[in-house]
Amino acid sequence: MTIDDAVLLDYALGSLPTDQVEEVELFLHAHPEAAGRVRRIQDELARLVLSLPGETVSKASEDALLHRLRRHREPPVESGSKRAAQDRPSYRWAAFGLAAALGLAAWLALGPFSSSGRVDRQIARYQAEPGALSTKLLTPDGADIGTLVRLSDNRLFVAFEQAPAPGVYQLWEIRDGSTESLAVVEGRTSLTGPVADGSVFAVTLEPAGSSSRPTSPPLVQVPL
Amino acid sequence: VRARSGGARPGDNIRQRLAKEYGVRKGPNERSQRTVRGMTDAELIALVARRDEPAMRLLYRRYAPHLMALALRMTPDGDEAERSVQAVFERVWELAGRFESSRSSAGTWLVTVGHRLIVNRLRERRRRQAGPGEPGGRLEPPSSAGKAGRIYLPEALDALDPESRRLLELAFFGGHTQQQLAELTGLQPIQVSATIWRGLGQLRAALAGATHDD
Repeated sequence: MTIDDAVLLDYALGSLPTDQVEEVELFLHAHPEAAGRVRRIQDELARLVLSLPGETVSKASEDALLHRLRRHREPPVESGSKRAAQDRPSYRWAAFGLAAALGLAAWLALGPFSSSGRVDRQIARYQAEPGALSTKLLTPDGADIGTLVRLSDNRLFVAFEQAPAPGVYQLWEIRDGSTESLAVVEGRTSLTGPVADGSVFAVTLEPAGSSSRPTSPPLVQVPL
Repeated sequence: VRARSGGARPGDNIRQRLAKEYGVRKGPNERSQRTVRGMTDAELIALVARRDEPAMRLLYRRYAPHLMALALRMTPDGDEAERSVQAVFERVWELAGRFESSRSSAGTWLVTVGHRLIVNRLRERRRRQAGPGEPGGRLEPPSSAGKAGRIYLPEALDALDPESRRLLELAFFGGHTQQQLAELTGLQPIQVSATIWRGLGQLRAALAGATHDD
């Protein structure tokens, strides 16, 4: 696709077809002047929208939204009340087992030797550094696979929710049309060297070892 | 956009009394609305990225009325407009971690995310209505009636010449690309583009004197 002023205008107006949006966004991150022009149009259109007299939105809608978001965050828990009445002894043992398992999981999660606790502390430490910028690593379908912290000296700290299996995560820097490997991650975390302003950070899942070029579509792309 | 709501919510008194008399402690997402009330939109989005419900609630109260007005401009179906606004905030919940205040103001980011999602739903509905194999690019004037049947037109649009206004409205509120507008109006693509650019210039001048705090 040739990205000319007409394409940028469609993008700024929000009418560009979805399958072309990502390519334009990559272009804009490499071309700050064009990004500035697009941003000015988006600012003006946003002001236009915000000048519309607000419509009433019901409190019930607000509560329904919050309820749905809560459900997205927490897996539903089956109450099991009917089952309990029918099968009380089994339920008791199951409840005991569940409580024990939850207790053990909580102890492991909070314990000094847990990977999860250690990674969380690492993330918090890097996020607390002056000038650090933190971003969730979200796949195109919205799945949260980790956290990216960009440090003030342009190094990147990356923490994944889970270690890759099978294969490895490979981190890439896309700049001026070229793709360079930043790191190969077999576990859950990595600290890269400095990256360039205006480049794009990407993650792919690669076969064990590493790859000289990405061999799979990026799981995540984050403009830097 | 300023916080528009600040009054007590139903049940606030009960919650306060329970907390006082029985020592009921608030969970991480039962933080008082009061603690987020003075925050900027950007600060609220940062909290939403950390799954903070009071921040999400306040952001919704600040922006949902405007996004509802936008949705009603883009679809005549009030129920669909309400569903669209809900979907917009679910998207905001997912994407909040990607917001960067250095790249965009919070208001622009929220409106851009919302507008794009509403356009996609509009196109999907047009495709379904057109049926399989048929082009879904029918030229539809954007809706101008709110829920109560009133006419809502941004005043700034009055400053545009009629042709620029028509094409800008069809592009932004109707979700049509310039190519589609050229095919549907019979104008040359370059004429469509030039007319929209002219309209944006007129819009910029009209908005220049307006104030907007974010």
